[in-house]
Amino acid sequence: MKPMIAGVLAAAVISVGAWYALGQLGLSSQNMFSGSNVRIE
Amino acid sequence: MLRHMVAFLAVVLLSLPAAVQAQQAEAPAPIDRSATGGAQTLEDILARQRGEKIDDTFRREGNQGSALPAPGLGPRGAASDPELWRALRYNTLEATVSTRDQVGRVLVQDGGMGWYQFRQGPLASYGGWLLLGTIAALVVFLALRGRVKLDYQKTGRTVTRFKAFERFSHWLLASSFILLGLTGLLTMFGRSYIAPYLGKDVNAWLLLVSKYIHNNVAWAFMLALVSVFFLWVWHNIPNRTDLTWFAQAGGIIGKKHPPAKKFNAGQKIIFWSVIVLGGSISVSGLSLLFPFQMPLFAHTFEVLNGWGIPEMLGMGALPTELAPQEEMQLAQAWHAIVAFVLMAIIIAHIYIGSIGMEGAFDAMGSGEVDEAWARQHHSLWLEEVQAKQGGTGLEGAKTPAE
Repeated sequence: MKPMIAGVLAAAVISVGAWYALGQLGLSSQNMFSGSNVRIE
Repeated sequence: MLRHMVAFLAVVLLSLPAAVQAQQAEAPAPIDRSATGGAQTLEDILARQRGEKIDDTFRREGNQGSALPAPGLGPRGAASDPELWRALRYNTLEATVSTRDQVGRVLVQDGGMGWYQFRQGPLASYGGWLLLGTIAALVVFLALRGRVKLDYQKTGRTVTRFKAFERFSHWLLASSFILLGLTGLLTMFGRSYIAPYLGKDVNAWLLLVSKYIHNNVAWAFMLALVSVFFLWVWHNIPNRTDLTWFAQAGGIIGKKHPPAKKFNAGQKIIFWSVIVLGGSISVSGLSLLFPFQMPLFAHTFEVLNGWGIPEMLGMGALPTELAPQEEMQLAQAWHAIVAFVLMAIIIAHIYIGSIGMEGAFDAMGSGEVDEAWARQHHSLWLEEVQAKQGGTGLEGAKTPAE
């Protein structure tokens, strides 16, 4: 059952990693979908 | 090539409800525009509000008429410039916008309402019924057929069905797909089925959480999809044993258990469905995540027009200049259509891998299956394993854990 648990945990880790990496690269959905003149800071 | 095909199929599917609706609706009576000299009338506006399809060529191409003479349509306190408003309406105005956002350069895009109605109407209802119908069919099937049980006594000897990395990849794919499916369904149905009962605030919070989960778990899904493809593609190439499997309906109906290698024909269907439909969902999902960098449909339509496929199907040329919003509307619709189909297939897969078949879960749980199970469901694969182990029996096979 270890690979099963590892797979589920890996999904969580990859997701958080993707969120962090995309944010660092300026590719977050906030950056992608809003211009500076309409963004609520 | 794949994305071209999926995009074209999306357009065909999207146009079906509209085509049916158009056939069912009575042709509207021609509108008399003599009072405005050919310009828009109050009846035009009311007809649009009733949802009728109006040929707007008279507006799009400009005319010499004026709305001024029509009662109630003249401007108040200022002169109207119909050419300016026409250019705004159809995005032909040479305008400069301050935002660098490409969406902001599209001044009017009226596809949103049609997309929304399709999403909340046929897409949600057909998709929802597909999932509920699949579950209902499986319940009926279980009631009629019962669980597929082992015909032989368990031997106590096991063979390794899937190695650790195979199971890891499977569960990475499975857990990410379940999360994506649930959050996708929340996004699709939250307004209709959560907000009225739990309130808009709860629904809004769920939507926000769903969006974060959906956008980021997608990467785990795509990674796992690539992994399982390379792990199992060799075993999923169709061969002659699949014909026998189909001829005996996979052993599900009746008592026969057709011979199979590592994957039987039914499992191959699941595999290729996951790869093709999952790949299509991934591509359309990437297009939704990066709509300006990865537009999907305009180029596809151009290619399809070049091949003459729309004409062969009796359709006009497909539009090759799409606003970013239109790209996203088409991508979202396709994303959801394919996801519904794949969810229905996976529900059936989960059924047969758990309650539907005795011993099936062990293959992905512990990775070890009893020799009796392997002989019943994958006899050719068992023979291959035995041959590799250098004996006709399973002398070297593992015994189950205590």
